[in-house]
Formats: sequence, C-alpha cells, structure tokens
Amino acid sequence: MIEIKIKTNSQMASQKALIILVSVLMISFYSVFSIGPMIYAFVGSFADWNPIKDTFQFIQFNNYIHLFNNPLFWKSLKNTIYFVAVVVTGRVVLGFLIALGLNSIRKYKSMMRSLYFLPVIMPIVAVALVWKWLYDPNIGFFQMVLSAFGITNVKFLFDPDLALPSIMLMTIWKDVGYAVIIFLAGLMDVPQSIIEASEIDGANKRQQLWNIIIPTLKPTLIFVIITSIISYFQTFTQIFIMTKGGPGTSTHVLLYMIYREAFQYYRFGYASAITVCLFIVIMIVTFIQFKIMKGGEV
Amino acid sequence: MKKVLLVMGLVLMMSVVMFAGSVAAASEEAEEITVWIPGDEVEYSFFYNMFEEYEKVNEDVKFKIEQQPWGDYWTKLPLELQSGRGPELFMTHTAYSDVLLPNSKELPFEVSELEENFNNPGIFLGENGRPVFIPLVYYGAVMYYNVDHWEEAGLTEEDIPETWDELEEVAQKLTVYDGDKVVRAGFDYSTWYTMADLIYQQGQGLVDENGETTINSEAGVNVLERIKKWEDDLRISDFTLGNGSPEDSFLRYQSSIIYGHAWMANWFASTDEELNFKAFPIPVWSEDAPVITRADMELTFGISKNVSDKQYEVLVDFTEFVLNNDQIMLDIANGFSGVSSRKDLVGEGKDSSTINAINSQMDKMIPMVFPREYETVIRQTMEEVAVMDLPIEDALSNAVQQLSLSDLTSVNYYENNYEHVEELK
Repeated sequence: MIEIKIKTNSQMASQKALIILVSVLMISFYSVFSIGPMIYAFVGSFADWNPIKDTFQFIQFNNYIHLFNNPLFWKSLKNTIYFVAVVVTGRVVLGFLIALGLNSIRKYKSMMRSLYFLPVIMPIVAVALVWKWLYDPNIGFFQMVLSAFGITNVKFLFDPDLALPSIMLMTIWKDVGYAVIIFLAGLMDVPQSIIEASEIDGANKRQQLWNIIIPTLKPTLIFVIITSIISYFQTFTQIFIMTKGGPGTSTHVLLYMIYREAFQYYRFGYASAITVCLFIVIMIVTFIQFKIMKGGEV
Repeated sequence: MKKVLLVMGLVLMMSVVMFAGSVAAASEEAEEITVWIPGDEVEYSFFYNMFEEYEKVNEDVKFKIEQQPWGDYWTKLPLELQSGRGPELFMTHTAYSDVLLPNSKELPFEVSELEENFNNPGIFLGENGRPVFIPLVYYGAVMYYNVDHWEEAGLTEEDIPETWDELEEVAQKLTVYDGDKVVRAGFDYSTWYTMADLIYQQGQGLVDENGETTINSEAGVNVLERIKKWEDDLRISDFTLGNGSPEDSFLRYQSSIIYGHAWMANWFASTDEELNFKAFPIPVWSEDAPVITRADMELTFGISKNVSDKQYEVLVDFTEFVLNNDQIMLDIANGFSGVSSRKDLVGEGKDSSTINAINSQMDKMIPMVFPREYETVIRQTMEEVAVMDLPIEDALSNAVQQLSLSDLTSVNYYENNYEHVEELK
C-alpha cells in the first residue's frame, strides 16, 4: 500500500515536471517568436528605424501622425475592409451552398469534395500567376471567352474598378473548398432524427434549413467567419503577384503597404506603426466576433 | 627480402600520407570567396568569366558563386550583410546603392588617381572619401523600334524622330487598332523613366534646394499632359500593353517603338532571334534640352564589411584585376550595350545601334541614382493619369504626399555634380 502511494507521488512529480517543461518551452517559443517581436515592433513604431543604416531614434508619435495624414493609408485600410467583407461573404455563402448541395447527393460525393478542395492545397503563388494570365486583357482566357460574346477591351487587373474584384474572385475560388469541407463536417453532425421528426411534422426544406440546419451549424459558421476574417486582413501574396498594388494604388491593402515600407524602403518604424494599426483593427473585429459568439451562447 | 618489402611498404605509405597531407594543406590554404549574383551564366556570362579568369592566374582563390533570384536578391542582400552574414562579394545595383553602401568596405584607391583613367570613379564614396563601388560601364535609356513594323508602315531611316513631335507623327503610322482597341501601340512609354527624363529635358531638376520633390512642377504637369495626349487624343499608346515594362510588349510584337534601356539589346537578341530591331537616341523636348536621359551604370562588385583582412586583400586585388583587364572591361561594356568607364576603352565597344545611340547622347546623360520610392511613385503617378484617368493635379498631389517621408538628398547631390547643372532649374 505504501509502495503504491510512493509510485503515485513519483508519477505526479514527473507529470508536474512535464507540465512545467512543456509550459516553459511554449512560453519561451511564444516569447521569442511572437511576444518579443510584437513588443519590439510596438516600440519601433515610435522610432525612425532603419536596420540597414543601423538607425533607431525615438520620434514620439511622428510615424502615427504621418500615417493618419497619409491618404494611402486610409485607402489601403478601405481596400482591406472591402476585400475582407466581400471574400468572407463569398467564401461562407458559396461554401455553405456547395456543402449543402454535396451533402444531398449520394454518388461521386468524395470525388466532388476532393475537386472543391484541390485549389486549397495549391500554392497561392502558382494560382495567382495562372489567374494573372487568365485575366490578361490581350492574350488571357477570360478575354477570349468574353470576345465570343462581343465584349471586348475588359482590362481586369488593369482596370481600377475591376482589379480588386478580380483578385477577390480568384481568392474565393481558391479558398471556398476549405469552407465546404468544414461545413460538410458540420452537416454530418445535424441529427437525422430531428430532420425526420420535422418532416413528420410537415416542415418543408426551407423551414428545415432555417430552423434546424443553420442553428445547429452556428458554431461552425462562426469558426469559419472568424478564421477567414483574420486571414484575409493579412492578404498579401495575390496582391504582390497580380498587381503590386496597382493600377495606381487601387489594390493597395495594408499588408502590401507594410511590405513596401519595410522591405523596399527600409522604414521599419513607419511599417511598424501600420502593423500596430492593423493589429488593433483585427483585435476590434475579433472582439466583436467574440461578443456575438457569447450572445449566441456558442 | 621481407624486410626490404616492409621498408618499401612503409615508405610508400608515408609518401601517400604526406601527399594527401600536402593536398589537404593546399586546399586549406585556398581562399574561398562566396559571391552572390542575381542571374545565371547566360545572362551574365561576362561576370562569370571574370571570376574564371582570375582563378586561372590565382590558383589559391576559389569563388563559390551563389545565384539568387532577382526579386529576392535585393531584399535579402542588405539584410544579410547588415546582420553579419551574406556573401563576401556581391553584385551591386545603383538603385540599391544607398542600402548597400553602409554594409560594404571601401576600396583602398584614391579617387584623384582613378580619375586619370576612369570617368566619374568617385560617385559612390565611403566615410573616408574612398570609392566603395566604381562604375564599370555607363549606359541608359534608348529607343528601340521594330524594323519590320517600320518598313511595313513605309518608314525609312530618314524618319527616325529626333523630337517628341516627330515621334508622335511616326507612331501614328505604326499604331494598329482592332475597333476601339489599340492592339499594337505605335509607342510604348510605360516605364517610369519616361517621366523622369522628360522632366529633365525641360530643364527641371527632380528635387529643389530643400530636397523636396519637384514632380508637381510645371514640367511634371507638361509630361503628364503629353502622356494623356498619347493615350487619349493621338491614341498611339496603351499603358496596359507594357504596364511598366515596355520591353514585354515589344517582345510580344504589341508595340513598334519603346522607351527602352541599353541592357535590353542583348536580351532581345537572345530571347527572340526573329525580332528585327534597332535602337535610336531618345528624342528631345527641345534642341536646347540640358539633359537627354539619366546615365545608369554597372558597378564593381561590392566587398562585404564582414570579410577578413585576408579576404579583403584578395578582393581588392580581384577588383584591380578586373579594372585593368581590357578584355573583361570591354566584355562587360558590350554585355550591357554601354560605354566602358575606362577612358581608353570609350569607343572601343562593338558596333551596334544601341551603343551608338548611347555614345551620341552620352554628353547629356546625367549620372543619377534614384531612391526606389521615387521610381515607384513616378510609375504610380503615370498609372493614375494614364490608366485611372485621375486628374493630373490629384495624381501629383498624391505623389507629393507619398514622397513626404522620403530622403531625396541623394538626387540633389547627383544633380549638383552634373556637368550642365547650371542649366537645370
């Protein structure tokens, strides 16, 4: 009996040691690679900081003052919010509809699921390059198709009104598969017994959708929306590959602005100030999301 | 007998061990230099060749060449050098000289001594007033035209334009339309240096005495109005065909005349053997234009500030070897279709219309290094006017706002050192 007690104590001790070890490792990892750089960037946002020239001079709020007076910052913020709103809506609505469709079919379900998921696993750089060619106003596929219907001279990425929507369309196409898979998994959790009971009670398909399926899928919906919002606020690659912020500044988004300031002009302080602003925007949006979740008892 | 064989065996073993040891010692003594270059042996054969030539006469030096993609190269290199890593020797570029200079070692040469043999050797000086990079070749913008298009339009060499008004006339004959759409531009101007050069041609410097941009000056407005005329009134151009890189539309046979750069000549020839093209000098705003275009340059490779004393000694010797080698210097000049920086080699380059064009405008080419943000903003401004139809005043106001954080004093420095500076506003 005594032996068993000693063994339990030693087990507990080793378990405790493991917990401490894992915690220390995790804290060290996040301190070095996340919290440290975040604090450094925050401090740097108050400085004239150029790592190439080895300068780091505190200039108080000058970076922020200049930033808030810079129309390009407001335009980039507006473009970012526009991009997030459209792409998240597109991804969620389209993903949900496709998932509903796929859930109702019996044959070729796996094949269709794979087909929709295929673009998700493709590298964004490759996809952006291919779509850039598809959008080419002279030799691109879309122009060829439109020409067959008598529509000519559509400039897609070169048209300030079409450039950002064109990139949004490409992004939705690439990422919708992820939402489809998540929604399909959620749909499998909808209790069949409730659906059948509602059928007996005379509920039609629309009523089933609004009163049973969507409420059951609410946690999944909110998960997809939150993760999408956070990731699309950080959109960069497709902008960099397809338009480099152009024509003019019509597809400038915040992350592209940060990249340009930091790695083309080496104004790390100014870039850090934009990063802090982006961080605050994402934090506010996430906070609102959490509030909604809490209200919905998710 | 056994003893003899044993002794012979031991001697043989010792010889092998000693030989192996000496080989190892020799290879240990060989100085390995890591070199970064943003291109392959086809693109920069003359650079790869200069390393081979040096290794031939210096067996104790071995260059380890690491090729990096162009786009990444200029972001990665300054950060690597600054953090104490990166290559010992690296290809440089005028557009990135401001970020590479602080991380490069000065060469132990006096500018006054170099000036005897080289044109403008003191453009890139270090803290002690000694050169960090020395120009190898001078070159810059030229106009390229598709000879087949030219002949199809009934044009001859007599029609080569010398002014922008003449160019507009010629370009109208070369432009091809499909309905409303320009499918082959008579003239593709879409590179940023069109605007910079045309401002200079009107005698306007690109910064004022306070280091502020003058892009919104009357000269800047004139250039943008001219661009609008090309796009909307004459319809000889479509910015989106080249979209900042007229060479692309030229290679796709979608433009007949382009605002190009000397380095493109060899690239065109190697990319498309059927492309029949020639070059002519940049037309002028008026006959008394104080500047025709900017003088770009290719420079000696940079020596990292992190090299050891021994490596520095080797790399200085290598730089001298390159500068003093006639064939290498000429190969580099010809490779970029430019004019050698060595005074005795000016005019010795190969016979080509591109080099002839550079030579003919050389005395009115302003040696200039633009900060990258100035290039970006000029291009954006052109796009805003040509593609987005933004009013000229708004586009220029955006440009001024975007350049308000930029340090443009280097532009001031180069303008003040220009031979005809007194003719610039």
